[in-house]
Amino acid sequence: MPHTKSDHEVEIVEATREEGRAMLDRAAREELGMSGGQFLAKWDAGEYDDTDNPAVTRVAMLIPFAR
Amino acid sequence: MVGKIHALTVNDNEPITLKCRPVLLLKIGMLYEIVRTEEKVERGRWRVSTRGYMYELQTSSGELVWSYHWHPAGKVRNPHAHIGHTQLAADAVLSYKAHHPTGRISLESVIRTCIAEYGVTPMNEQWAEILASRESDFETYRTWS
Repeated sequence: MPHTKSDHEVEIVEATREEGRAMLDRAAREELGMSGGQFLAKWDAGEYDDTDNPAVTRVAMLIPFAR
Repeated sequence: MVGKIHALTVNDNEPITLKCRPVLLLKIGMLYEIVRTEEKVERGRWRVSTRGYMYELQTSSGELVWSYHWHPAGKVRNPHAHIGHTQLAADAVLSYKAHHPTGRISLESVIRTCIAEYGVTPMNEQWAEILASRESDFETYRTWS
């Protein structure tokens, strides 16, 4: 696979669990007006199983960062 | 870690400001899993397999223009697109909540669209060749489309 100039400018950071939780918390507050913990509780309870809200998707994409 | 779905974002989960007029933002999120494979082992027995994605083009104020989503754990399990409500007339039949089905969308094709259709200035003059090369890998090694 060819290397490119941009390859060498990319910095990859592995987020810690705490950083991941903070990221999810920030997104949940911005998108849904609740904490990350509240979002996870609702997600686990199945309250979003029937949702079609793209904002929920934006937050749900971050769940692996927090677990 | 094997057997676990991981997430990645670009730019610390903040939208990337694209070089274009009007200014547009691109937000990227992906889910992936590291899986063992017995196929096409010339590149090794482990590969990264996509488990979900979210590519969103936004206005400079963060309003959605369009997005491509695939999140199999959600209500709509197949890949789909949304159109931002600011792009719709008040009496539009289309809704930003509507899921318009798509095939699987590569990040490369989204970047190409930003450059070719929305006038974004690429960071690398060889952008077309680089995207084609990466997309060729994607098409060779993906397990579904």
